[in-house]
Amino acid sequence: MTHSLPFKPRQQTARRRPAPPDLSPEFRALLDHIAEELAIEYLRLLRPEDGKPADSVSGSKSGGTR
Amino acid sequence: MKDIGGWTLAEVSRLLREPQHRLIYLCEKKVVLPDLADARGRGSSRRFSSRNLLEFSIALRMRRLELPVAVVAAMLHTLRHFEDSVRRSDPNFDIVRSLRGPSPLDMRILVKDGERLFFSLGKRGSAPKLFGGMDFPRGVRGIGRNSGDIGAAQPTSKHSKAFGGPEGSRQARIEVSVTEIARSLELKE
Repeated sequence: MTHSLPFKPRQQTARRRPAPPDLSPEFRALLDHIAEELAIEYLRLLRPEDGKPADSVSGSKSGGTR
Repeated sequence: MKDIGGWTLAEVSRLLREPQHRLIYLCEKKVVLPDLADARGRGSSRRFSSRNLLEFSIALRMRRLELPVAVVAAMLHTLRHFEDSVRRSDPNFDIVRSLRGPSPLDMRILVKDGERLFFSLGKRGSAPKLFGGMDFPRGVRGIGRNSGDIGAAQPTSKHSKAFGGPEGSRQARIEVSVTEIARSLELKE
C-alpha cells in the first residue's frame, strides 16, 4: 500500500558552501618569501655567538614532555 | 615523539579534545594537509604528524576567533614553507621539536585590525623582529595586494604606544603564540 504525502516534499538540493578561495600564486609567492625571511632569522638567532653551527636548531628530543 | 606512524584522526581528536568533524573540515578545506597519509577512498585513512597537530591547534584557535579559513590557510602555508626552508640548512629540523626544546624562540602570528597578517620572531625576553604585513585575501583568486613591507617589517612606534603591539594596531589585534601552542601539545615523547 502506498501512502502519498500530504505536502510536496522540498527538493533536496545540495547546498554547499562555496569553497574557500585558493591562495593565488602571487599571494603564495609573498607568503613563501615571508617564510624564507623567517627561516633566515630563525637560523641566525639559534647560531651561537662563536659562529659555530647551532646544536639546537633541531631541538632537544627530551624537551617539553607533557 | 610519535611521528613514525603518526596519529589517526580519532587520536588527534582525543589529543586536542575536538570533535572529528572539525578536523575533517580543516582537511577538506586544505587548511591542514596530512603529512603522513591522506584519505583516498574506502579503507584508507588520514595520518598526521606532530606538525599537523600544531597546525590543527593553531587553526582551531584562529577559527574560534572567527578568522576566515583562507587567512588560516595562509598562516599555515607560511609555517610549512618556513619549516621546509630551515630544512634546507638542517635536514633534521622539526618545528615542533624545536619549539618544545629547552630554549625555544618566541614565534607569534599577529593580525592587525582584522586586516593584515604579520609574523614575529625573537628570543624570549627580547624585542622580536616583525615580518609580513600582508593584507588578507579578499575572497577571490588574485588577492593580495600587499601594502606592508615584504620580509622584515618595521615595528610601528606611532600607534603601538596608544594601543599596543609592534605591528601598530589601532583598534584590535590578535596575537597567537606558535611557541606556546607547540609547548602545550600533549605529546607522549
